[in-house]
Amino acid sequence: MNRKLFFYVLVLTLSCSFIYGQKSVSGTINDNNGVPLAGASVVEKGTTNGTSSDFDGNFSLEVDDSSAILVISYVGFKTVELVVGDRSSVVVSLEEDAESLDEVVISVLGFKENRDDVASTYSVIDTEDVLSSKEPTLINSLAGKASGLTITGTSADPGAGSTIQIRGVSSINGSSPLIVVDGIPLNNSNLEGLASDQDGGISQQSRLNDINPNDIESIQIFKGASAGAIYGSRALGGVIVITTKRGQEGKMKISLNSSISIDQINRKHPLQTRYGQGSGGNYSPTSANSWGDRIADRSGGPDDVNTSGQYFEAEDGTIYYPIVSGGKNSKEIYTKSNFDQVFHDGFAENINLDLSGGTEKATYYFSTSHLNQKGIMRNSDYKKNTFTFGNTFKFNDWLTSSSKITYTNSYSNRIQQGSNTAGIYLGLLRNPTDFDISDYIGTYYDSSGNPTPLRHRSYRRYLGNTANPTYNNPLWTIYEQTSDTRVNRFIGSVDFNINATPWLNFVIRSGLDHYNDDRTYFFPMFSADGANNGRYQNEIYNNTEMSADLISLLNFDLTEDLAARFTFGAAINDRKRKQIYVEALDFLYNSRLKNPSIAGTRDEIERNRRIRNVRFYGQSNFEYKDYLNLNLGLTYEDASSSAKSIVYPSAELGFNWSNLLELDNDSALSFAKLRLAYGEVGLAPDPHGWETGYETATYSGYSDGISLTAFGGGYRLNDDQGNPYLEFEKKKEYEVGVDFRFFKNRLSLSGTYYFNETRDMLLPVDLNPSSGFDTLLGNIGTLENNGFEFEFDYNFFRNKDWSIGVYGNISTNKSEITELGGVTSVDFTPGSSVKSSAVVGEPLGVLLGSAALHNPDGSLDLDANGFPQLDTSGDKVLGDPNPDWRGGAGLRVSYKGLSLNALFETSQGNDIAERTRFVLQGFGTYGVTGNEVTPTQNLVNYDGDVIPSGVLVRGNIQDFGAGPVLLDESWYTSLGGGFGGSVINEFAVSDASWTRLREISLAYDLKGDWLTKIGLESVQMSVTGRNLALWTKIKGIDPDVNQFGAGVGKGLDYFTNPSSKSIVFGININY
Amino acid sequence: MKKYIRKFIYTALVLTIVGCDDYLDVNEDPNVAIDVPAELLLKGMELADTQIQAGHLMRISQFWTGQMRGVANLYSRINDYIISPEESNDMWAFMYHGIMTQNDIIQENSEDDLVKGIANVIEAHAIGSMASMFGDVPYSQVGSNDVSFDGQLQVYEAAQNLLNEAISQLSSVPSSRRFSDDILLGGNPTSWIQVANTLKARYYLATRQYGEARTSALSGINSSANSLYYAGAYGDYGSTNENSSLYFLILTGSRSGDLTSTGSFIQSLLDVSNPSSRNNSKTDESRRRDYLFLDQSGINSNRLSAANAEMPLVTYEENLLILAEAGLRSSGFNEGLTQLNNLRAHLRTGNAFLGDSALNLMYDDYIASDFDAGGIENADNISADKALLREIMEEKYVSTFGTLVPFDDFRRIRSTDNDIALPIPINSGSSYPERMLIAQDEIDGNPSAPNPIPDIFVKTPVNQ
Repeated sequence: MNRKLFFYVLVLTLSCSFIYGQKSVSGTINDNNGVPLAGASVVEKGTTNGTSSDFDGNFSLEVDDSSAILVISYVGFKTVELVVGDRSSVVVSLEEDAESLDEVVISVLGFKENRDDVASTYSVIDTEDVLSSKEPTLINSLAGKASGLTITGTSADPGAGSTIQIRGVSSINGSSPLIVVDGIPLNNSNLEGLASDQDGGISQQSRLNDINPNDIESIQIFKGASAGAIYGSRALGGVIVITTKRGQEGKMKISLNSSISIDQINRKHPLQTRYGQGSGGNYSPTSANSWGDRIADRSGGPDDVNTSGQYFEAEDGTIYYPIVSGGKNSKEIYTKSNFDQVFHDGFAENINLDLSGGTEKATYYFSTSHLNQKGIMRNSDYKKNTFTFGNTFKFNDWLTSSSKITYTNSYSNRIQQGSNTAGIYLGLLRNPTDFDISDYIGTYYDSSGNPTPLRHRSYRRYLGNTANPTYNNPLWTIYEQTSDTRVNRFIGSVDFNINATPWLNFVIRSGLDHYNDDRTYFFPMFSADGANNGRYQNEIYNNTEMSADLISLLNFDLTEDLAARFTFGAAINDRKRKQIYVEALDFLYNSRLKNPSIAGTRDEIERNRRIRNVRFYGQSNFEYKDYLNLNLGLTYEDASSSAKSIVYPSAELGFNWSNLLELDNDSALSFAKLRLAYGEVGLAPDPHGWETGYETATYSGYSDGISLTAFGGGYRLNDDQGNPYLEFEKKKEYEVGVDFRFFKNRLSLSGTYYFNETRDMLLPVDLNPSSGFDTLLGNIGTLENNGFEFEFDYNFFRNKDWSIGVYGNISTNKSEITELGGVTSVDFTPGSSVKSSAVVGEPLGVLLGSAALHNPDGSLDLDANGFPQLDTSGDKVLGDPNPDWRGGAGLRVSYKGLSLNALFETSQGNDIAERTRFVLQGFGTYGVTGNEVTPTQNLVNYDGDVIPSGVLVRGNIQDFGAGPVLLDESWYTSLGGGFGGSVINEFAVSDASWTRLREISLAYDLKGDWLTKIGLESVQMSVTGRNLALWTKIKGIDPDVNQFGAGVGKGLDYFTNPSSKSIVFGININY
Repeated sequence: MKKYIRKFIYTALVLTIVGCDDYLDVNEDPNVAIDVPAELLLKGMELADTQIQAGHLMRISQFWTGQMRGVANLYSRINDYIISPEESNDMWAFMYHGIMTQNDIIQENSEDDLVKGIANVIEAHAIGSMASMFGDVPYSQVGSNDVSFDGQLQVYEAAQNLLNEAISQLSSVPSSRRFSDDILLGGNPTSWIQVANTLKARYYLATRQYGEARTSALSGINSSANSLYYAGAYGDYGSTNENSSLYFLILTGSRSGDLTSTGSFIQSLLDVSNPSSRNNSKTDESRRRDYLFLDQSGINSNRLSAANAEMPLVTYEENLLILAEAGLRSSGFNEGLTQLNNLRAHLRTGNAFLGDSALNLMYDDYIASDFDAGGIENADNISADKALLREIMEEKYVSTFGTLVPFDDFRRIRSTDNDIALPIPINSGSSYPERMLIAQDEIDGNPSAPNPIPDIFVKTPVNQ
């Protein structure tokens, strides 16, 4: 009922605005590229008679007579005066004032505004900066470029996704920012799917990367809830507003960009090369571990083999016979050659062409791009093609339209990784140094001579004598398994702008975003990870989002000093997704056909998801003189998945107090503003959570599960109770900020402090059994975040040839879980070793896991031999993956046509669970486990054996607090390495602070008459280095990787695919 | 022109608003079944009941009554009475969600009295076992976040009433009707009526109402065919892991070495080579001893450990022994002896349990003088009535192996006739456990749960 009342008020308000209109001198104000300028001031010279241009740059003004002079001004542009004469309409083109670029910002609704009128906290990322980083994926190119913005990559797999976070995580249910492209929300999902586990599988893609970065005009990051309130439940994590390029009036412009990049792995795990496969100092060709014999002590020469029975014949004819006991003679090691067979230099080529132009009536923009990337892991690739066509059309003096359609098609094969015995790093890094992975496939002959072709040969099954290789040979992972993703995506949008009266505009805007994401995973017979008999999986997502907005914009000058703008809007949004999953197991024959018909067992799952929401919003913006801005907003929202509707208020106050001072061109201070903001946003519950449906069930007490399925099928009412009272999660945020500019705007500083609280976070809670159910999803948890953001930009030197500037940002964010409804912890990641979890009183995402016993003073409680002991009282908080602070700093230098840009990025105080290192210590392949030492005193090892002084032993000497002890196989394979909850995972957690040279680029603009003679406008050549230097205490990995991809869980590395560094050569030709 | 636009906008907006509620009405879950016929819930209730009667807690009761031993990991600690309330979580979930929540739907939505009657017997079976194991438990008030506990006697009374209702529902359908989705008794109303009566008798024994127990047992299970066995009516029983005997599953799964009957009191009680065993000139338990042998090694089709060995829930044997005990107590020695011999005659057929036919089996009839002072069942010269009661309870201890009944009886007899209670060894300390612990989830979630909860050595009200 409320909803309808609200609406009628809205309709009344809108209808009032039609009541009158008058005849006037009208005109359009554009920038020098033909883009309309909204809010430009038009004043009749010498009077107080004036107006400002509307959204479409149009204005209309009643003037005295034809001798009247119009003064047209706009911040960032040079003021123009013109005589009306006998014209009834004028087109004014304003020229940019070079001293004050970047003064226009795009509001969250996609309208241009004067930056000094905006009281929200935002950062602008220039399209130049996006393009100059030459990242193949858009998201990664944003890294380090705005305060409070965190981009976390997953791996260097081509096309892999990344997490975007603004001001930390705002909900345990995730808080990716809303991406708005030209006013239309864009899907940026990062779906794991059924066929690829969160902790293993492949790095999935982020859908934002489907966009062609070259189409982007500007990117703005709105961080606070006050700006996002208009989007309600979709803006919990902030809003990223992307504006794309449009054609401009004038001759056709052609721009061609091309780049090639060479990528290399940026960090390699140190591996030992002294000791062979085996355990207890003895060689064993089937052992999991590398605690075998000392390779230097072998006799050398070929191994002694038994040629009388079973053997393996590789594809090239090489024959492997069983090594007889004590017959390992070869001293050859393969760590480097194995590595080089897996990794190579990646290569990417990227080409982009765009054409644009137009007339007074219509403009067009067309672009196409092609990316072809070969990853640093052999056989991994990413190909993407995009086509964009946009146009604007002016039907008459009151109706204009703008439309755009984008088509993206991509294909990628990425490599299995993580906690996955069919993954690449797991098999490669556990591989002993004395095992050559080259012959990974061939025919196995048993002792009776029966052949099994296409057998998988791995280091634990060097004869390929079983169907299960235990762990994959990494070459099998690369060449035999495939994980293809094919995406087709259409994004279309249409805007109609109706100029109803000089002070009232309507915008009707609608968008459609549809994609089809088709993933095929193929594990041929004899693959690990439960696929010994073969596994084919196909998972298809069909996702469609539609949105429509009706917006009315009103501009008034209420009095001479007080101007008001009102925006009213109504929006609907519909998101639906269908997921179809086919799993085919138990291949009937050994085929490489990627087709479920080769399988004996097939299973299909279909899941559907649909959510809709409706919003009505109103925003008022009052500007008093030129120093006070007050924005008040109210958004009403209802979503199909919420039992209750919600209202989000927002208020922003901007006080440009420098305008009260008598500043002149000689003042050091150019501008000063104080910002205060309050806003609320939310998060809609996941759809379909209201009902308690029926399910099939397994009843198990203790290792004795019996299932309905096995008894011919049946149902029970779900024990996880649906909740028809689910409602929005709610976040409120307070901000205070200051902006300063000094020295004719050459130095700008901006700082913001924020505090926010998210409550009613959805969480399943355990119920008392006597309630009749086991769990209930409810609005329960509470989380707080607060932080500080600072940005600066200083062009400290500029003359005719030179320009030098520095820029940067720093941000902090502290989060604390304050309420989980009695739940001990909510784990974001599975597994029993180390989890990223929510725990009351701790920051979000802390690392939970098994710890060492500690004394009350914090020192280790050691056993009789002086070694740490396992604390068996349950998981402890081991670390915090959230940094204390992050920052980016850059240097911009240009000399004539040559420009240099360097960007450093840092993250300090973040912890990571180096589980790869820790597990490899158990396997005896990690670098330190190959160390040799000659003790100068008798030592004991973990088993209590005495290690005599003066004799060279394998191991490391360490003092845990009770004198030196020897860390050897007995320690690394019990508490000091390996996986599970019965090792001391505390020792896997380390400070992962890092600083990197995120990018450095050198560009040269070719100039000269010869260019114009051959018809070119400009040519730029550039070379860019990405990630070329990394400073961190963590060895072996880039601490910015994340085993859990783009999820909430972070700070974990477990055989996660590595990151890369690159050099990119680019050329940009404009015609 | 602007007029048209205005009209268009009004129309669009009005339509949006009017359609708003309908537009948002898309939250029905498209991925789950929501219109499942109530009758399809019965099978799940049966599995939940099987876990309560024959699963984790029943095995624990066996550790505490000399029928099995926990020898490794969790089970070795529980064997020695070190147990935490978490162990009860699953059974409480199975009781209240697995059985009561589902039965509420059946009673409300089903038109079929056969299914409703069966479902009520199952609920009464489960809640009676809950009362027996835990004493006071939630029952009459379930269904909220703050549920007061009913007294144990009140729960038994409610179970009796529910069984009466079930019997009347089952009696209202033709005895020829069958419900084929019943994996326990093939949906035979006659069998279920008998099971309901035996359960009534079981609960009357618990509350020491021997006359009523005898009356009910007289209408109780009158043949093996009407006994309630886990999956007794499921043709493919034992064909895959998830439809196999719970003993088989635990003895072959990841916890296979954690429990065994080797070295248990019952194994020596049945051991012919043991001079103090229950074998005598009229009794040879060799075959039954082998049948009841449970260990990760030696699983075979003659033994209760076989994948398809039927697990007893409510049996003809139990009913005969209730008749014997209640007959003895309410009608006298002869009635008790007659009923005991009826059971022995049944055992004599060799059809009462599987068993290796190569092993001996002998259950000759006892005569009254066997229980006289100095008789083969009365070497210690107690009264004949006591000696007969002792033999009836010992026989029941063996005949109801694999159910909670031995735990019920052992606690009850120690309370009423401690002098003839079985000399089962105490595993640790100096007391026998008297109950299971109230579930941790209940303690955490229900403010009306007792605080502190009674420990395992506190007798339940009926035994106090």
